[in-house]
Amino acid sequence: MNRKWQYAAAAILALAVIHVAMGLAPAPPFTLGVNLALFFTNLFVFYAAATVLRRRSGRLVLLFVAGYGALFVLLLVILNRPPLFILLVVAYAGFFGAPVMLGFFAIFVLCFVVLQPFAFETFIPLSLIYAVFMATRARATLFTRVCLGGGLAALSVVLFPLIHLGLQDSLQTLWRTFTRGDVASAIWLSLLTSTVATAVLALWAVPLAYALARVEFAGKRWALAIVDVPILVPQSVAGVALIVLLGPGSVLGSSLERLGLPIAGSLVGVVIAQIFVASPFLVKTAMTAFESVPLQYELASRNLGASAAATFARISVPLALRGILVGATLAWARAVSEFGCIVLFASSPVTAPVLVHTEFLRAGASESRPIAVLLLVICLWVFVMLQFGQTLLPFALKRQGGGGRP
Amino acid sequence: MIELSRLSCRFGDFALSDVSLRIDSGEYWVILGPSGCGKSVLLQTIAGFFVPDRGRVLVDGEDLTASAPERRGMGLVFQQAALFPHKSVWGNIAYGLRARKLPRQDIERTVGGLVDRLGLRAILARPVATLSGGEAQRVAVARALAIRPRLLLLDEPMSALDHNTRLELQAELGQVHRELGLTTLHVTHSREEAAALGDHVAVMLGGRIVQQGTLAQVQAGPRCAFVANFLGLPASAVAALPACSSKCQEMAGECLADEAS
Repeated sequence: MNRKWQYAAAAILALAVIHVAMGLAPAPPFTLGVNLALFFTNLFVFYAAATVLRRRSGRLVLLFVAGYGALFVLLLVILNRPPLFILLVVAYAGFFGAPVMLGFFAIFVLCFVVLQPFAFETFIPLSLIYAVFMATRARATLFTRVCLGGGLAALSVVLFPLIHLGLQDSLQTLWRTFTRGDVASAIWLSLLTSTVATAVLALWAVPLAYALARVEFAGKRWALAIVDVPILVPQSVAGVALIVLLGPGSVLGSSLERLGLPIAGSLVGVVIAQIFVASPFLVKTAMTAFESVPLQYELASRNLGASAAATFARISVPLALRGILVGATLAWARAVSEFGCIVLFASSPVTAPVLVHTEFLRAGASESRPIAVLLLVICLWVFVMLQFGQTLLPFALKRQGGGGRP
Repeated sequence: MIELSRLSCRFGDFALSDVSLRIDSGEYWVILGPSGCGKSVLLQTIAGFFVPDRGRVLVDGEDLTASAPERRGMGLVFQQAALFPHKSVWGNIAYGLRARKLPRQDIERTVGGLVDRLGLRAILARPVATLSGGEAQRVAVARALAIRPRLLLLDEPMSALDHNTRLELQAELGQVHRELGLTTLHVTHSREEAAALGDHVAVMLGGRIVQQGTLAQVQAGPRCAFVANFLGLPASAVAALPACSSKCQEMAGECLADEAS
């Protein structure tokens, strides 16, 4: 017991000697205050090292010293930033007992010291990847972990411009932009039209998805391929196609205009363009959802006297609801993001993506940036809310759903 | 009275050929046969899920061959209960009555009666996913009985249950049949069930009915070795009977006894 205290006293003494020597050196590297602060920091590091020592693992002590050395070289020798060194070393010594926190700490140092200009942009994805990685438990082999970590890292590289963009403008700038009349109305218009488009789409896409999931017919493969056509067609092509059919000069367009229902350049035009591009997402996702509803439930319902339509409404749709909502969310997201088709076919009233484009053409990237950030933040927020909302549904259909096996 | 005349259909690997059966009101028929013999297809054809290629389904003289399942008024109990997972026990039993848009009081009365009869009062509020196999199957029976079916169809209702639960449900089904006098068609591969419940049996193989009659008749005079074996008759009784052709054993439906007669 006494021995330990002797060791501790000797170590503190040695530390004091080093700091006094530094202070008395001909060209002291630190001022007196900084030197004192460093001394107390190192005292704390000693205390933390003592708790590590108690676990009697030589390798762990070596690791601790190596981490300290790395921070020392990086922050004092290379960057010469003593305050940052003090802050980070205290955090490091404190976190060393908890490996999970230490990982976050390492990412923090990496991002905020090494990758300084992109600190937030790199810290967010890296710490998320790390969190996911730590959350993988049993049955995660090294291979799947590498797939997961590598894939997420690649994904965050792909999404890097977006994260970077999202951090460009201060909240004040964003608020000032939002209170500009044209910006607010464009964003509201985007949200409104895509919601209407999704609702109108659901009216026919959900029954179609049900039929595609339940009915076998010759040429079904072709029907499924046709459903996907809007994904394939370039947006500008879709825009031109709609103009040719419904535009001002066309037969159908001009006669509709005479009836007082202009399509191109009206709200209806925006909604039509959005339905066009969004339809595959709802049809395909809802179809998969209907396929996962066991046929037996529908047969039981028919047997009990419910017509085919009543069975659809009371059994199939409620049991596939979650998938249908996922599809509707995707379709909504696709409708909000639609630009190419709308800018050709219905560039007024101005939706938010079109506004970003015209502002860019008028005044360049710096002027259109706050609008882009606003649009990004609002869409992401709604998208996350919709995705999260699905988990609040009252029940989830189990795959094998026999309804009551022990 | 239910009459099947020369029903034939083909559905994937399963087929029916020339199935004829006459079921008088109040009788309890058991269709007995090994798996893959087409007995479930027969039941689903009667329920209206398949349209037969040939033959007719007559109920009280009315031709139901082509009518939709929801118009047949037949209560079907599936092998795995198939309770609607998004509805409560009460909602499941009341489903058929709600589909018929009956007044609320009538639904309450009918469901209440069935709940008491089958002893479901204690589990009425439970989500169906938490029911045990036996409980789920009793709810499924109540659900089928609620619509007062002209014909109760049971598709191997006990094959997914453990032994004791099976015996309980068997006793309950027998009691329900005695009290309500419902015409019942029960499909199974278990001769114990057939012996315990059926007053009539039809033995099926390869999509055909090999032999039919009252249980006593069939037990007393099996027409071939297959029927005798399937009913579990002693070896001495089997030896005297015509053996089965290889096609018959492959369930292709070629019976030596047919040629002999």
